[in-house]
Amino acid sequence: MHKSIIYLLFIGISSVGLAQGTFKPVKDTVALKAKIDNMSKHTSSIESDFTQVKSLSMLSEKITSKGHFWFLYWEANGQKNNSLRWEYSTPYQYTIVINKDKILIKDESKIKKYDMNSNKVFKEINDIMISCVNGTVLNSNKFKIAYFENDNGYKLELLPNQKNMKESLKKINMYFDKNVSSVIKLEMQEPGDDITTIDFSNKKLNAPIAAEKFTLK
Amino acid sequence: MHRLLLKNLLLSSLLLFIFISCSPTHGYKLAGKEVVTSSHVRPIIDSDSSLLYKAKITFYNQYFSGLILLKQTDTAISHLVFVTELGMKMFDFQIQDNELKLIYVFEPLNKPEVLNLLKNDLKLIFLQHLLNKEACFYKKKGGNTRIYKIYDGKLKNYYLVDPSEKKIKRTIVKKNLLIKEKVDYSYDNSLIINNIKLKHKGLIRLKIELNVLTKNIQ
Repeated sequence: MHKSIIYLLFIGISSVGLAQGTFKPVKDTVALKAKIDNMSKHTSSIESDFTQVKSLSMLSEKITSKGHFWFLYWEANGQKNNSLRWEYSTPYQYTIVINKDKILIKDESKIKKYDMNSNKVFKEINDIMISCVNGTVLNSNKFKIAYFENDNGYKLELLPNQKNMKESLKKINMYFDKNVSSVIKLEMQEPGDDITTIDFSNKKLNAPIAAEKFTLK
Repeated sequence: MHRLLLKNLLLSSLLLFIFISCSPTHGYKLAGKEVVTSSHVRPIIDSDSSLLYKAKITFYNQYFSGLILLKQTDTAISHLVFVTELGMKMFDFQIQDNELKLIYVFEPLNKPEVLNLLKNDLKLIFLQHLLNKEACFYKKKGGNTRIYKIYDGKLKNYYLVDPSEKKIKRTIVKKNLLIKEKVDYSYDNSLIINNIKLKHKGLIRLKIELNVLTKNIQ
């Protein structure tokens, strides 16, 4: 199940008009979840471009960042692992790698290593991001999830249950196509109605990814 | 006894000499008092544009980076927003009448000591202690720098300004003769501040560096 959301987030080709039209509650959520599970079982790696737009509501201002994303699911000694690499190229070079419980950041030529649990602020941000990517977001009791659909696709609306999370995050919306083969975007809405949108494009599924992608030199 | 007294006197004189020669106004003469406005010093916050900076903050052994957006939202109000690369907003300060009011802070950062330090440093960086305040100014014969001196409680703030282009070059904060903080500024050809570096001296190990990324004309 934990791979389901990864699959949902990154698989797919076409997104035209996905977020358009009125969304209505999904009647058969069991069937939708089963589709998600089934598809996620066939995904071991994802490579994708992404465009991230931060909309600051009070300032009517948008900050756009672009880059490339890698995900690898792997098993070793009976353990299931997820590795992620976000490589920003715009507005500046910045790479973040999450490998097991380590976070590696390359900013300009500086490389920093963190233990996931050593930095509370960092952990908070990454917990939210990773839980969307590794699927724990659907399984955990941290969110109340509602399922919607329109003619073009589905929308999963995740509302935080925990008080401390509600202070930083109002809602997460995940959009994917009608065949549940394509997740187009991820939206994170903050209490002040600022929204971070991440659009994924040019995805490659199950292509080999070298282990070095999840290290930084 | 006499030798000990002489030794102490020499040491005191040496320290006094060091402190005096370290004074930012050393060699300058008090030339008057004036209310500092945009006609004397170019404000960093521009009413016609929004500025996006890359921010690097080093606090003891911790390193944070992200984006700072600076935007005037109406004639009297500006906002200073810090967003991480991953898109999470860390804080939003509203700037009005030279004061910074906290509008939003990411909950794990919501600690009075962190916020006060941040607020004071941002006020200093963006010249909120200087603009529209009365200051003594110092000049040197033949020199191209004017120094404004302002008291901020127990602190003395010195602003080194290039009057010909109204550019702020450096800010120095002193407390009891010792330098507490320094801010250095550099400009690009279109007179936008493209690099700002703030460094605390002494016990607080905090550095803030801002590098301009874009300027959007409104």
